[in-house]
Amino acid sequence: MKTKLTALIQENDNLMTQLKESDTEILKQIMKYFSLYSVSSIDSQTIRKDLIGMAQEAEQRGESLQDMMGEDLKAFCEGVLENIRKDRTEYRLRMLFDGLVCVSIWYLADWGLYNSFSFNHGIKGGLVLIYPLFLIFSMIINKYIERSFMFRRSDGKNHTPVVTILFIVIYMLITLVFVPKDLRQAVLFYVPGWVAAFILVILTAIAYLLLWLSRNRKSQG
Amino acid sequence: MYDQSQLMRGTLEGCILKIISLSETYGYEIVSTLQHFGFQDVKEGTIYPLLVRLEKKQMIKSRFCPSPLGPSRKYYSITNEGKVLLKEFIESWERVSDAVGQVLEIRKGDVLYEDKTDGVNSGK
Repeated sequence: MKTKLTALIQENDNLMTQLKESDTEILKQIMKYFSLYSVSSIDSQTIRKDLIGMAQEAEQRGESLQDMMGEDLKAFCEGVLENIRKDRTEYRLRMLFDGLVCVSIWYLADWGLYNSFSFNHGIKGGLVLIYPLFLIFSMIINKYIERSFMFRRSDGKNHTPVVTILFIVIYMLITLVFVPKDLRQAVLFYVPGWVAAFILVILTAIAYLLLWLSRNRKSQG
Repeated sequence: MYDQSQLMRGTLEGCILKIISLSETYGYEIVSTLQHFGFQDVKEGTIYPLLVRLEKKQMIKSRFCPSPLGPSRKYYSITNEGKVLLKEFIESWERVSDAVGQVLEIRKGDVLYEDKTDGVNSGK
């Protein structure tokens, strides 16, 4: 599967270089929109190949991809997404794995800052340790902004999530430049080790259960 | 102005299936056929999500073939499941079209139906 996907990505990348700039831009926007949702790479690349083919044929006829798509690109994307979005189990599974990764990053950051990684001592949440949590929050806001404002500009360019990026930069600047080092390391809240370990174990168990269910369903279907 | 999109949504899928059932065909040819028969506003971007949907449901299958214009082209053909769905669509469409046609032909004062309790109902 991986080889097929890699070959498809490579083929698409090569074909994209032969397209008109305006068509390339539209394709990039559409693919960006799909990336904001839970779409498998193979589905996403298959659609990319179809759209490239459509753009190539349109060009031969002296038309553009925009002529083929119509004005409402978002409606087109929503129409396709209805049929290729992953099922809820897979989506939840991905969310759980993301959660596991975030908790692991938190643990590592805690270890890096206090050099005392252990299930016994728990997680000391300071100003710097809020970064991973803040990052998750920013990612959610970012997705919401992009989903809402994409394709709305008349010049065809995306809305940059300026507000989200500014939040992150300002927060980092304030904590790293203006807040003294000893205050940065101050403990603002504390999660006991057993609570963190319990969350990790439960998350892992649910994630593997969902993975097993998902694989089982696929093999039956 | 009347919004045709909801009305088109269900019927277009059946029409696409019918065109594909006639012979193996590709996106632009399907659009041209639909436009020729009066679906003037239909573009490739309109039918593509429906083709994806039909292919996911295994009502149609596709393969890439070189086209006379140069780039390889995706050709669609109907499956056995698609043929069954098309038959069901045609039957449903005939029933709905017949019912809508009869309702739209009613004139003021016409007898609508015979009510067994109150006698005759008219379109007054």
